Amino acid sequence: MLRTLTFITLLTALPLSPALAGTLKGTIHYNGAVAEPPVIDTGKYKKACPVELKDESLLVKDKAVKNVVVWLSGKDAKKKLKGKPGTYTLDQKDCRYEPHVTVMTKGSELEILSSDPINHNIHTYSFDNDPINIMFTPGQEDVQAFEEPEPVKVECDLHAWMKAWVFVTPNPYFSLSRSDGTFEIPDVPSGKYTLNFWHEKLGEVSQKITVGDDPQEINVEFPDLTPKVTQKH
Amino acid sequence: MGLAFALGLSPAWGFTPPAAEDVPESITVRGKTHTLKDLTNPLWAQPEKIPEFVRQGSDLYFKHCVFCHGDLLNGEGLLADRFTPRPANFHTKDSIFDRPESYAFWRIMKGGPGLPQKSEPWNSVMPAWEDVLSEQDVWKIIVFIFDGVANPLTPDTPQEASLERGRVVYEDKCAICHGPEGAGDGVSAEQMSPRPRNLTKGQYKIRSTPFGKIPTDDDLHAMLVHGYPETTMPSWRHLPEVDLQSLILLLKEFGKKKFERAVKKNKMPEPVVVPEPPQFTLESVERGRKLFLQNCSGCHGVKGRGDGESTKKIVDIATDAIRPRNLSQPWTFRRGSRREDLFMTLRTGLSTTAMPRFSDRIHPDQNIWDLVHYVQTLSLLLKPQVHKNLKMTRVEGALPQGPEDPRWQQITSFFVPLGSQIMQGEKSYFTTVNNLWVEAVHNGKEIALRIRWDDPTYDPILESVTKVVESPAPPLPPHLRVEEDEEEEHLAAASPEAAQFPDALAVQLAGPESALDNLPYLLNGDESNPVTLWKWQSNPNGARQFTARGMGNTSPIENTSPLNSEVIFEYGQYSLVLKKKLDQTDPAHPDRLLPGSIIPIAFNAWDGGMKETGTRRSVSNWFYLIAD
Ligand code: HEC
Ligand code: HEC
Ligand code: HEC
Repeated sequence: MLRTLTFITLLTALPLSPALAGTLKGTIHYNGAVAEPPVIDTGKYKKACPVELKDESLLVKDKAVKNVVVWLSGKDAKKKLKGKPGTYTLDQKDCRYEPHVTVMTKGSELEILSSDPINHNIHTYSFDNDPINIMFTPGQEDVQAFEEPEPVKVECDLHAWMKAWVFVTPNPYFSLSRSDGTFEIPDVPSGKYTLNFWHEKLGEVSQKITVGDDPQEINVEFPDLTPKVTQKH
Repeated sequence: MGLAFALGLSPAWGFTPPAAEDVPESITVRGKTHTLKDLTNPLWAQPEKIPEFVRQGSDLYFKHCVFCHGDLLNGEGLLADRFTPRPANFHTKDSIFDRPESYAFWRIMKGGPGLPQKSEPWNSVMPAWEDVLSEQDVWKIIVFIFDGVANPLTPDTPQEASLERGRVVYEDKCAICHGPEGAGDGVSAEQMSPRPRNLTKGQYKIRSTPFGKIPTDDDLHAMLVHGYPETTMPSWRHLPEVDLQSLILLLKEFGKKKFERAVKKNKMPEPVVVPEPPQFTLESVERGRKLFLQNCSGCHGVKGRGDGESTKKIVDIATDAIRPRNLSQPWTFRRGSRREDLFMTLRTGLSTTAMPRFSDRIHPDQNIWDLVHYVQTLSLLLKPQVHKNLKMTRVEGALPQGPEDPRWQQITSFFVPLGSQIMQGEKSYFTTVNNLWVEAVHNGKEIALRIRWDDPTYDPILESVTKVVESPAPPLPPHLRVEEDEEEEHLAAASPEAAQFPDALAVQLAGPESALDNLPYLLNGDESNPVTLWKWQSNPNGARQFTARGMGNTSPIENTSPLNSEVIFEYGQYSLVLKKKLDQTDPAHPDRLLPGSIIPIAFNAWDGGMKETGTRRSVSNWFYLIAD
């Protein structure tokens, strides 16, 4: 389900750039009440892991939201947004996943590392990509390709608090919001697109946009609604 | 007292349905009397409506009867081998199909309790349905059963497999469980665990291809032919090959998105090949033990009973995330328990579940074989035989003490299956305690029973009163281990809280006033023929004695010698000793402890962790303790 949102679009007049492409940037906010992220006590694992870990599922500072995936879709996106897949790494380190959210274009490969001195099983929940569930021993590595655009949840069945997301986008024009809530997608060919925002707790919102060759600043606010529930199988 | 228990009498174990002359002339159902001789099924008078009646009968059958009689009407339902006599097979000669329909009407309405005295020792679990189903319902079920027995196969088998034929067979045989469109939402899905699979995702638990990949056609074929042991999914090997092939086409159509993508990308997954198994050696078992603790015990528990530390996270029956398999009961393995099967399971995992695959990047074949060898030592290779007569060993002097007394090891153990209580009142469709082991001893005056049953969750309150050993998280390297005394104060000091519902186990004895050829109804007797219960429960920890006249109608027994209990919980298994010095008021009074005497006994178990309480429990048939 897509929700409409409050868009504040500022068109800043800047010198014309030669190629017909514009940069999209902006800040993502959430005004709803956000509790202090729960602290996880690693108990029996406190020597193998940090004694305490922070829940990373909703990180909001001064209303600015971290880890929002921003990407483009629509007819023009299919036609114009081309690019090569890449290789990304996901490390099981200090009993958490680094990074917590990985964004990659379809066809990209994820190199999975295991820097911790203990076992983890990496278990992904996906619908269109082949899910994986592999037991990792310290130092083990594996590579997994993701072919289909969708959010994929990653969990460790041995350490309940360990969670991460791999977000597969249809093209390489994406961004992941930083801790100050800012995002940036440079050099978007001009055209009409849908700009999408996804957050693991806050859900998904999107808006139609037209990109010319001027940079656009788009500030977004996630609606204060019941967060979307993500299903397993 | 009239309790002439013939010495050496071997109680009846087989079962023959009542002969024509033993069928009552008339029965009364909800105040209405039916003369059986004249009673016919009124539904056949509406031939145009028969297909509709078959459908409705089928829905009712799959809600109420399938768990015992099986979806193939052959008496091979999920609970088939938990009870004796076994559920009736409607395909055999002299089944209800060969008798007047009024006979089936009587048997369904009145069930086991309605059988004539002659059939009494069998004490069948066949429920009486008169309070649950209407006359119309029962006739519809009979129409469904008769239609199913007459047409075990989908009619008009074609020459060649096709998707269309697949749909027809699916509609006829599978939709009732897997739902009209394969989404796993059939009529009785909620009563099953595991539930019928959602077939639309192209995700299969059991394949020869890597975790998460589509299965090969051969895999799908093997799945249908093999069935899924200890689930409601039967084997379909009796279907004509054309129908099996047609169903495979349909399964691929259901999971089209995934199957077509593999074809389009020319990425058909390669099956994993099982290499030649090496010799079974003790060295291999020992290596396997270490690998198991490191890689498996977190979920399966130290002894493989499904009680690992991570189960708190991964088990959620509501979303069909079932418990890690109890590896000490290999007859429940879906793929099978031969070495080759286990190898394949470990290399490929079970997609859509927490059961991971063990990659060859890190685990060479030898590691996998070592694990396989160790898993085989966690259990007996064959499902234990069920004996109706349980030997009660005579010992001289004091009886063994608590559950850990080494003398128990000298006593013969007996395997007793239990089945879900789905006969009366609130039902428990999938229970935890599906069997137990019992050892019995006496010394002429006292009797002691040791009963062991697997329950992956215990009542935490027991930690403060007895020995409780949990499966720890997989071992960490020594320098990373947190010793007990280093644990945070608040963690160590937290006193355990009782579970919402206690765990419990009851031993049921007949009488005291009942004869061997007229045992009380197996579900705690009834008004006229009561039972005695020796019931242990976890909170407050202890055993009490009751007289029961049916489930829920119990009163404590005063003025009798005390019943002592001692329990421990270790790695997903309870071990309970019940001990009592018999007195004349007991169903098993001292006269019964002469060599060869018989004490009828049955068992009830409750897993509080699964909210089992009251009539929601698992139950056994009557067995017979035979004194040495
Ligand atoms: C808890 C297991 C159980 C359930 C549930 C159950 N049955 Fe039975 N049924 C049995 C057993 C065991 C027997 C064989 C012993 C006997 O005849 O009483 C039996 C026997 C029968 C017989 C008699 C066969 C004969 O030849 O005398 C009929 C008919 C029957 N069941 C129909 C049904 C129907 C219809 C339902 C569902 C509405 C049902 N049963 C549900 C266990 C069950
Ligand atoms: C009485 C209910 C019932 C009927 C009828 C039934 N199934 Fe199933 N089926 C199940 C259950 C329950 C499972 C899940 C087993 C598990 O998860 O371990 C299952 C699993 C399966 C699986 C899947 C497996 C996997 O490995 O993920 C397939 C395929 C399947 N059934 C096909 C069929 C077909 C085809 C038919 C008809 C010919 C059929 N089933 C009839 C209950 C049923
Ligand atoms: C992260 C948890 C987890 C780990 C680790 C794990 N398992 Fe399992 N295992 C499961 C679950 C859950 C199931 C049952 C899944 C189902 O049927 O839905 C299972 C099922 C099984 C089965 C039954 C297969 C069948 O055919 O029915 C076997 C055998 C098994 N596991 C062995 C092992 C062994 C050996 C290891 C270690 C090498 C291991 N498992 C590690 C969770 C785990």
